[in-house]
Amino acid sequence: MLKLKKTQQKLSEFEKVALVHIDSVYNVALRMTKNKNDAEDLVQETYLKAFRFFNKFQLGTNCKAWLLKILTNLFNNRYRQRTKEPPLISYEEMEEDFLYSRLLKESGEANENPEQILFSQIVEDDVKKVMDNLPEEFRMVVVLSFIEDCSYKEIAEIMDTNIGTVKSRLHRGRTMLQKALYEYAKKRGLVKG
Amino acid sequence: MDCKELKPILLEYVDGERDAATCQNFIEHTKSCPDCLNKYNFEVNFRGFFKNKLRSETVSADIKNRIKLQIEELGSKVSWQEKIGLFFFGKPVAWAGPAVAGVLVVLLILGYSFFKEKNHTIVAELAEEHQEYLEKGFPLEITSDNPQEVNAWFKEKVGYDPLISSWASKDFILMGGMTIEMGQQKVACICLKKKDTWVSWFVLPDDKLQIPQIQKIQKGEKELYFTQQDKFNLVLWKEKGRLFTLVSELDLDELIGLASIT
Repeated sequence: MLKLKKTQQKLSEFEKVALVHIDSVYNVALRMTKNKNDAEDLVQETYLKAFRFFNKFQLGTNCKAWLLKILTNLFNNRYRQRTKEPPLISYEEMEEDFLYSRLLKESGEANENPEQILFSQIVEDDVKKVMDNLPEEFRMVVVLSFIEDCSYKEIAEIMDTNIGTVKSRLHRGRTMLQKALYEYAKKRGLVKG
Repeated sequence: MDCKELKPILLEYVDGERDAATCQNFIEHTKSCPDCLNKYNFEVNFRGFFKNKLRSETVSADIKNRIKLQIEELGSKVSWQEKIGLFFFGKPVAWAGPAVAGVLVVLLILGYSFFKEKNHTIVAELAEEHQEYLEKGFPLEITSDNPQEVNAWFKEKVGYDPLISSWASKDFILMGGMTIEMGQQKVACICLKKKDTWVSWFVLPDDKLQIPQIQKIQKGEKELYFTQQDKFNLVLWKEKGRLFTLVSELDLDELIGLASIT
């Protein structure tokens, strides 16, 4: 009876503390694996591992970050090789304020607000494509920062790296995204280019 | 704060990484600088754009239930600790594993210290005896340099012949011997001298006595064990059903030499 009670206690605690973050964990898994089935498997594995090591988690600390660290480790070990990476973009060619400066130029020529047009007209699937084309190391940082609102420090802990690396990856990731978004908008005729 | 100062930290501000004081400076600056304000607004919208478009995915109820079920199953599985409990108590007891492991550790420690104590007893006791003789003088009961005479005397006193053979080495002089009580046994102690250094040569009749796990050297057919206790060197070996032990301040080489020629 005691055993049953303890198990139930652990389960309800785990549900309250860890399972509430399942959608966040899933979103990150989806962006990392780029496919629904792998993402579901990754989420499942993450939670099973988390439950096994739940006694090592310190209640009161950031459970989402803890789960995302488990997820990142599993991803690095299991899925990384399987995911086809797009060719790396040369960082040297990156331009500061790539999208902003171009949109600013366009807004000077017309009365419309191109920024608003761009952000409101791109469909979700295309945004996913833009994000998924980002090289893995940048994608992870951008997803954790933009989508999960993790701090630089949390990202550094999750990815086992330092804050300087996080900052530089985030900066480059932003520029890559802007360039990709601009190219996409040009193709769709959303900006003149 | 001006545009130049703001530029490198603008993105950190957008990401919520700057402290309250910097934020206040930033707000003050943007009040009079529409360029920086526009850039800031763009970066905030850019960030928000991805968040809005990519955060909408939710895990299906199916997956959620599957994960819950698996976790419940995992939680109700009997661990090895509990299996031990099942074995000993007929029901799974979580503390049984660690408890059994704990008992084993204690037994191991006790066994080890018992073993160590036993080893300590033989070597240390003989060294202590020798030390006492050096301090208080050797209580020789027979004084003779004739091996046959000493052998015969021991046979009468302790019931066995200590097998002192004729000496091959002239360096050692037989001084005599005495009997001592060790435990419930009478032990023969033959005393030798090399120049001014005494050697106690204990002969224990019981072959069942264990030689402690100390260093070993093979000399001819003899297996000699040697160790150091306090300032003395000791050499032990078994021969003809007896345990011989030499204790002295002499160098180990000399004791090993003496043991190998007897």
